[in-house]
Amino acid sequence: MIGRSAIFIPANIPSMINSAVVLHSDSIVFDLEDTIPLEEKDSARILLREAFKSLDFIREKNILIRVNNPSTAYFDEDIKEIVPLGDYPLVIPKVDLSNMSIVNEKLERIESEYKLNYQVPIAPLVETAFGVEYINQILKSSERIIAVFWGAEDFTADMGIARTPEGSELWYSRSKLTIAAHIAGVEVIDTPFTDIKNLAGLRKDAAVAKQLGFTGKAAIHPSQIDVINEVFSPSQEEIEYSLRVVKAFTEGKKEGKGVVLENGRMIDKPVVTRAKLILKKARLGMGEEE
Amino acid sequence: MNTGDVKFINSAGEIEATAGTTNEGDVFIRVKPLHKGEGVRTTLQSRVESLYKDEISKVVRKKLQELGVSDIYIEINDRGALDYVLNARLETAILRTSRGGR
Repeated sequence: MIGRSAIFIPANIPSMINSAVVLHSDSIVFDLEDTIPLEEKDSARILLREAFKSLDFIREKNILIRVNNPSTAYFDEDIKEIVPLGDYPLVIPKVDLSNMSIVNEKLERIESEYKLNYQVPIAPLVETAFGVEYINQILKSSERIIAVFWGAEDFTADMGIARTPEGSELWYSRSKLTIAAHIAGVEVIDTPFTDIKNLAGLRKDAAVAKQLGFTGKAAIHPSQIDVINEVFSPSQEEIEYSLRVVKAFTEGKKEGKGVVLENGRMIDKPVVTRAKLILKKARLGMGEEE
Repeated sequence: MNTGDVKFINSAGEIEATAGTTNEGDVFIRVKPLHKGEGVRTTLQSRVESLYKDEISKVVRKKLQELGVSDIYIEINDRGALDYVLNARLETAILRTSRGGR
């Protein structure tokens, strides 16, 4: 499970890898793609492999790795180093339908070559117009998919449109992604908020993402983690209301009622389902397992 | 590195390569292959040299053995790197040497 927050950390900076141990994001994504200059792809890959072999905290944290574009040779070298280290989910950038089949084939080949007894999970990063348009097919294209990440910077570049602070240009694509992810039953992680000093803006953007159905949000700076975790955790008010809803519905059911009233508001099955989801999130947020 | 395995390409007749940085927590490594039989020559610059010289040498020797490299000059500028960083940077530099340096 990726959870509420996933922070991206460049895999070629030892001090940042070392300090990941103290980060309290729900997940950490070590990055071999955009934050790594082309001439340092080799060193980042080797550094990450050695870190995985040596640092105990990596086995205790929820770790993902963003590999390079599957259409490049960097991807082949990435998976050769990373896949044998364990079943850490790979974030796959620039997905479209054609490279999803390449990803599946190449991962199968590596798993077979190294005789691995696990199948590496993947999380497509949707960041093109094509990716948005074909998201339903993409999510059906591999049984490895556990989540989908949304990348608005590359998407707006691909579309040739400007990003605005209120993000109205992304409403359709964001909604399309969350609905598709919901149908597929996978987590959906919103794009990072790039103005790292603007925590109020981040809070607003994360709240919109949550409202649209995102299950979490990517972070690019440690200072963003608390805000994201807070926004994506149920509030005390929501928890208390959900407890009252479940209680009222359970008692009503004993009396043979399918619909009950709680403080004058009608409670039926969809309301109870939503309340139970909030309580589940609250338990997970407090470190409890399902 | 056994020089029989690599081609000399630069003006000095040697392939030189580097890896890492001098940023905190990292290590900057420069390597040059030596002729067969010349062995391993190391220079170390580190704030913690007096405390960790032996430990750093041990890590380097082990990595060279793992990579099958026996004749090489290694310059190490350590900025408080953990063992895994030293291992990674050394391997990267040697890999780059064998690819023609950079």
